[in-house]
Amino acid sequence: MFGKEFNISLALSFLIASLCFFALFMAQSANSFEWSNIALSLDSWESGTCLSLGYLFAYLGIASLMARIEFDSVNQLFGYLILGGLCCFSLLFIFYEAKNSLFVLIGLDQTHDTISSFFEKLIVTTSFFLFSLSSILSIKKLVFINRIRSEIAFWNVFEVFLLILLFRSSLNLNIPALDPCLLAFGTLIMAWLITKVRWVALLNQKKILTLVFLLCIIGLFISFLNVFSNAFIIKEYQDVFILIDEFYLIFPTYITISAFTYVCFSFLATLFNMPISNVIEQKEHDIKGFKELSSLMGQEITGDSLLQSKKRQNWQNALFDRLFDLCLKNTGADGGFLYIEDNSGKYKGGPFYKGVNENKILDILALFKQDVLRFEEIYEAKLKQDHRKSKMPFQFESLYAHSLEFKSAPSKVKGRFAENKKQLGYLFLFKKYPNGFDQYMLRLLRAYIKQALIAIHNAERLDYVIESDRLRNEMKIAQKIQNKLIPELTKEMGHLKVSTYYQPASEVGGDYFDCIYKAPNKQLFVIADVSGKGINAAFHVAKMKGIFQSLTAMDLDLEKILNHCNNSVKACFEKGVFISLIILDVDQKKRTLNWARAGHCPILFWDDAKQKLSELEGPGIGLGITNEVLFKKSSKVQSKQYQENDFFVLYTDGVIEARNNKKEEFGLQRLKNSLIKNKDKNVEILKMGLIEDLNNFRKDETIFDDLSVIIIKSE
Amino acid sequence: MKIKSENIENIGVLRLEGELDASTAIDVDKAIKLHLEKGKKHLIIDGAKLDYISSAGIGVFVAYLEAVQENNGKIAFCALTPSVLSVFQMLGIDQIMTIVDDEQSAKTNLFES
Repeated sequence: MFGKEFNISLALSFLIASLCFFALFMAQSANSFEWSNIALSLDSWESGTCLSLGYLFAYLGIASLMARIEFDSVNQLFGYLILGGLCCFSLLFIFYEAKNSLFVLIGLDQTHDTISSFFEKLIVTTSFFLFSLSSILSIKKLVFINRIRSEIAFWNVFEVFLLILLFRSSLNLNIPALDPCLLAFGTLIMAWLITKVRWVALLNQKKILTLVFLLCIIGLFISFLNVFSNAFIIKEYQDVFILIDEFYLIFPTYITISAFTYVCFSFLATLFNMPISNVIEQKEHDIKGFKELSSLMGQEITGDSLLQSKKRQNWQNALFDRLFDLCLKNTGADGGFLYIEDNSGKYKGGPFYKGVNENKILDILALFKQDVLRFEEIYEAKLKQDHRKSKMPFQFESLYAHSLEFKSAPSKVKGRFAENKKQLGYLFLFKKYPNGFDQYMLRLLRAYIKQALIAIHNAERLDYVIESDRLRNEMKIAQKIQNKLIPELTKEMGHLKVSTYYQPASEVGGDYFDCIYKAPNKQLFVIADVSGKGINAAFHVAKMKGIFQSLTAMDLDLEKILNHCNNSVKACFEKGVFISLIILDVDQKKRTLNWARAGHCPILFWDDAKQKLSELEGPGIGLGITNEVLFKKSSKVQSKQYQENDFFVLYTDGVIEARNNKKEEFGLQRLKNSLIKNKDKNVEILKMGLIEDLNNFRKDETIFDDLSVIIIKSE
Repeated sequence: MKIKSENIENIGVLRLEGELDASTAIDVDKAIKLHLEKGKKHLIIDGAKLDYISSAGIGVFVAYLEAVQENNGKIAFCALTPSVLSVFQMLGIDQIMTIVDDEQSAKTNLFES
């Protein structure tokens, strides 16, 4: 914006101003060295022209200099305040000095006739009122850099006071005690006004220096003016003021004094603020650090898992790099290192160190972890050794170091975050001099680390979400596979009608049932419950199905099937896993049931002739619990005849252990009642009735064990 | 689930309170392991305050049964609540582990053997 032309105009302004003043000086020095005689050496209109031009260009010079300096909103306002004042006074001087020359040019009498006196009055009053207005506006903006309710009210009082003053200035009133009252009140308000220099705190050191420099230039300009004013003009100006009635001056004088005091006070405040301005700057810098860390937090990590882990690594390295850099710079540390560990405590972090020999990092840490010595001592001990070898890039004479072990933020998410407070690493910072780290710095370091940890924690949570998403998808696949393990049984097998129900507690379950068609009239039903639930149990179900299908293909009797099953479970399944099972062999021709129980819930048998629902009990230990000998001893195959309309129900314990919100179990009795209620209906209604009763019982309570039911009815 | 561990000579006693399911089974597993590591021959499980046991819960005892038996030891359950007892009976656990009414009879039973 301000190019070469601007620089030229700036230089020209000062040059012309200097020339004008120089011309005056030369004229004066030609006659006498007395400043007071300067007026005598020149015709008044010549000196007037010179002075007015001098003022004009000096003003232009200062104005362009101010425009040249890059102000921001705060000191720009202050600049306007000063510039406004200068502008008005310059206007006054310029017009006043030019007046005589003008009068000569247009042939008017220079004496105070009506026209010139009116003209003078006009210039003076206009300048003053312009000055007042610009000053008030600028001061208002400065005072309200940040608006506070109480200050707004006070400012309103000030404005009202100014109006009263203006009113007083316009009228020649003669009320006793009015002026002293106004004076006292005005002083009070001025005292309040000059304390409102909060904007000074917003300036950084560079801006303060600019401002001080500018004020000095202006001060010089004003003193320069004073030299000339004192020399020969002041008397004439005094004449001007005499022209104006005294009461007119009250308002502009008050404003001038207020503005002048405000400027002086601001100048002092700026000067006193200089030593602490770098503290504020430092704080701004610290906050910037947080912003940088936060912006790293915001980066999204997406993509496939491989790309993601690489991206994650890069991201984490960038974060640690930034963190270390910030900690180092903002504490003014001379050296240090950031050591990142993986879960097993191995060195994982990138090369985040400064002023330390990389090979020494591990030694220092090892000593620190032993917790035998405080870190300062460790490092000093280390230093003595290193001093001899002169391997340290920094030769610390005495040092203080502070270390912060940072741990991942505890989380409310259940799982590994909540359980493990992972140690992520260590941060060590050194300074050449003792007491180098104050409390503020330590707080700042902690805050930075916390911010970085939040970023890592968030990233981990993102990982967790992605991982659980992946698991959910895999669970869906597992569910599909498991659904195929549980067969859809044919609903009609000779005179038997079959209905089944299966509901796992989670995506996959630990229940298993099946039916082997040995012959058109011979079916082998099995129902089993693997201990545990979820994915673990589902795998065991898959194994169990394999074992069972192979054994039944060999056309063995029930006892042998059971024994082999027990041996297989004992051999193939891990310790502590067992299976409860019932095999039911139905011979439709002979209308007989053969069954063997291995720790499973007994079959419920409805004897239609006797109108009685009984449990087909029998001995038997769950598969995989005990050895062959004991198992054989306890297992027993039993038989029973059945008739038309009899039905038998095979179920798993999930049915009777289903709970309601009062923690009551559905129980065997409710199961029996439900079946008896629909005893004359077909199997579908029997099943639906049971499911309905079960659902009514537990209502919204979730099931926590798998439910399986097979109902077989002879029709 | 609360687990109280006690030692009576060569018997490790576990007093269980609450519900023993897959999640709490891990703690019981640790407690049993601790007893066996200390060289306890027998285990007495006091189930007076055990409200519920799941198959995974039973699995813990089944898993250690052989280890205890190899050491000529026994696992005895005492004062089981009716619901827990019925689960044990259904699975046939009562045929392979000692189930008695109170702790005293459990001790007598174990010392006799």
